[in-house]
Amino acid sequence: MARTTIPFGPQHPVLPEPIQLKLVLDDDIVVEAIPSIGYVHRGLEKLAEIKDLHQTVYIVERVCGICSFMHSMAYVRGIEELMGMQIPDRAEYLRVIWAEIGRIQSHLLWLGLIADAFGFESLFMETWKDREKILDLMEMTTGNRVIISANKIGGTTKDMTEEHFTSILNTMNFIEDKLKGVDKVFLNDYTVKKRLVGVGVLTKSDAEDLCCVGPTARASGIKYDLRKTGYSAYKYLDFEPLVDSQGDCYARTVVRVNEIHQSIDLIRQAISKIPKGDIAVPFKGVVTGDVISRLEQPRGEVIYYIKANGTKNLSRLKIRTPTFANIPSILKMAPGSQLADIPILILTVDPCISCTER
Amino acid sequence: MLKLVWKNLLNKPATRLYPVAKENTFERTRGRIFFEEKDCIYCGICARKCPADAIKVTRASNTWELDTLRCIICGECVNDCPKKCITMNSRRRSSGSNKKVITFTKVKEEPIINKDTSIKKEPIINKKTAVKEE
Repeated sequence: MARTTIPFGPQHPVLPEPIQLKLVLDDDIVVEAIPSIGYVHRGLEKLAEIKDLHQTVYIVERVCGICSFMHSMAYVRGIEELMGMQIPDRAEYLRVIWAEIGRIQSHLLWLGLIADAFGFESLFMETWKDREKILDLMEMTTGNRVIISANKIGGTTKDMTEEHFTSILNTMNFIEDKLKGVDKVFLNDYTVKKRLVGVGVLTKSDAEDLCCVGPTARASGIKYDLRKTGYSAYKYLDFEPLVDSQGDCYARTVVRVNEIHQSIDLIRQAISKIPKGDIAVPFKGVVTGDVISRLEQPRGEVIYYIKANGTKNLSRLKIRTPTFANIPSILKMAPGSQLADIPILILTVDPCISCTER
Repeated sequence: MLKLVWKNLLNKPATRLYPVAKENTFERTRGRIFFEEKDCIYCGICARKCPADAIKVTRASNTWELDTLRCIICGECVNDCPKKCITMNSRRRSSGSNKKVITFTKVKEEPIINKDTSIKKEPIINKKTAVKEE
């Protein structure tokens, strides 16, 4: 049979955000995948040159709805480094607690999406039901569920009380308890393993050549987690990057499930060590120069390049998101796989297309 | 997995019966913005700080406008108002059927051309105009 080309996306029930892949098929096996992006470009980097420095915090948060807190954390850390500000320790610990809560809700969202991708809808509903408790924590401490606006240049806008810490610890116990049942299904169920094991193998040398980041790289054996460089309050916490050596979709699921447990542990450590004090220092002066600020988001490493010229607007803001670095790995894994495995392949690198095309 | 299935069968549903059942909000929940016009001096700080350009202040005609659909309820105007005229509470806006811009106008006080100082000055009349619907 002659080769056919079918378009996968941009509208597809399994994709959370629009991306198009033109798949060249030979019977049922994919031969080539040609991507095309640009369906949600909003021009946010240009908007940052028009609004002033403090208003840009609100713009940068809205780049992505899932990893929104860490975008604002990377931006304010860049500006604070340019101005030489030292922010109080309590603010660093609060940022880490919110960042790890954000990581848990992002991985729980991903677990639900991958269950929906292979048709297991009741597991999807079960995972997202547990995620609601985490969003309640965000609403209790800051006021909003998803885009929390808790960062400002110089510290955080809100503080947490002892009652909040007790609620957070109770919710962590609840999530750990519920995850015992859900983990068993993701990791041990026969039908789930049939869909995930051996599908979409990315070898370690391929992952290094293509510069993959985040859990996609860690599941292929590359031991690299940017939190070990010790930014913010991570230098006071004790953890190790989680790796798996198989490189297939099952390994990426295992890495993310274990990262949820690691984040629960980090939150408990941070709450036990948080000092008392102020939550912000005042902002004085003008900003000049350029700086690069890097963070570990749930999907990998994000790089912010900020260039300021002494006025109240930035001269350039450039964001390199982790999904942009992971898209070439989809194009490497797709040839040789069956057509029905393509949704699983795309979702296991956890694409966040609104981050990719700001 | 079977234990989970039994528990879900026997418990009540996890979805809230919207709109009959009200959502439970927390004390820090961001609901909507309220404005008191009696202390406003029309300095315009709230309009300059707003990230979404939702507030418009005209000093000449003493008008303060809020476009409720542009407002992102961030709270910058609440923190920066020097006279503390703007507040935020935790009840969310209800949905409506047309776009609303809420306008508040303060009528200037009449100048009294009278040398007799025993007569007291007339108070400022605060007039809230009707909600202008587009």
